Amino acid sequence: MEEIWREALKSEYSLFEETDKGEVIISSSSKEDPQTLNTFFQLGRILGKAVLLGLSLDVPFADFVYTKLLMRKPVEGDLKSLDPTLYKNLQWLQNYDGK
Amino acid sequence: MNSKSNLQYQNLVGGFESMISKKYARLFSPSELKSVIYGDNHTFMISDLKPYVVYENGNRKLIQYFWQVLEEFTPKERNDFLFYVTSSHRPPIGGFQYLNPALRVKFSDSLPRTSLPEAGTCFNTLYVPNSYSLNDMREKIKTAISLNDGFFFA
Repeated sequence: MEEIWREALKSEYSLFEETDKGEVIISSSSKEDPQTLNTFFQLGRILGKAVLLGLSLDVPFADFVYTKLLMRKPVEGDLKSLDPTLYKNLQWLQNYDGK
Repeated sequence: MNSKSNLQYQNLVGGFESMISKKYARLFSPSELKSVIYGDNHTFMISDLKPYVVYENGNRKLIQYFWQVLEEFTPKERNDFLFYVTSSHRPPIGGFQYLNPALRVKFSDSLPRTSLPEAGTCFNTLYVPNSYSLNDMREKIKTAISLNDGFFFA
């Protein structure tokens, strides 16, 4: 199972990409055709199966991916792991007191 | 936050959910799931890094001291070292052969023996005084990497 994921992470498939921090997210250039979407579905199943079996897959997903997997509402830390610049700018806006 | 790659995530999550029902998913926090999938004491092996390191102005003794020190590192020290020199806590996916530029150790005669090693993270380079003894190498590298605001330049 680990091998399937390791294969899926290869850049030639454009399924996943690495953030600046070296974490894994779905690639913004990944396709939306049925075959690709099914590939994601199957990879998700493998991920779930690995969790059930207690197998560590060794894939360094960004924090917000775990939030999505558990279908939680995103929290502040998730935006930070997705787009640190946007997060920083939004924080600045939030704290700006208009002076 | 949700507009890019939405369908792809939906499918990934859908596949995951087909194995782990929402009922159980609710028991995990995201950080607990992260520990299960990725683990929290992750580090690389020194033997993974060593073949891909280049040296400048070193001699056999200095290089030997350098690796002797690194081989002694705890997992945390290895990660701190990597962060100090490359600004990343993790090796590139696929291994250090993909680290670009390659990690470089430059032995310098302009850096005094009293100073800590310096990092030029843009070039993944560590500058080490060539006057270091084995003990200097050990104490000063450990000190440098444990400081959060290390002696960065460039």
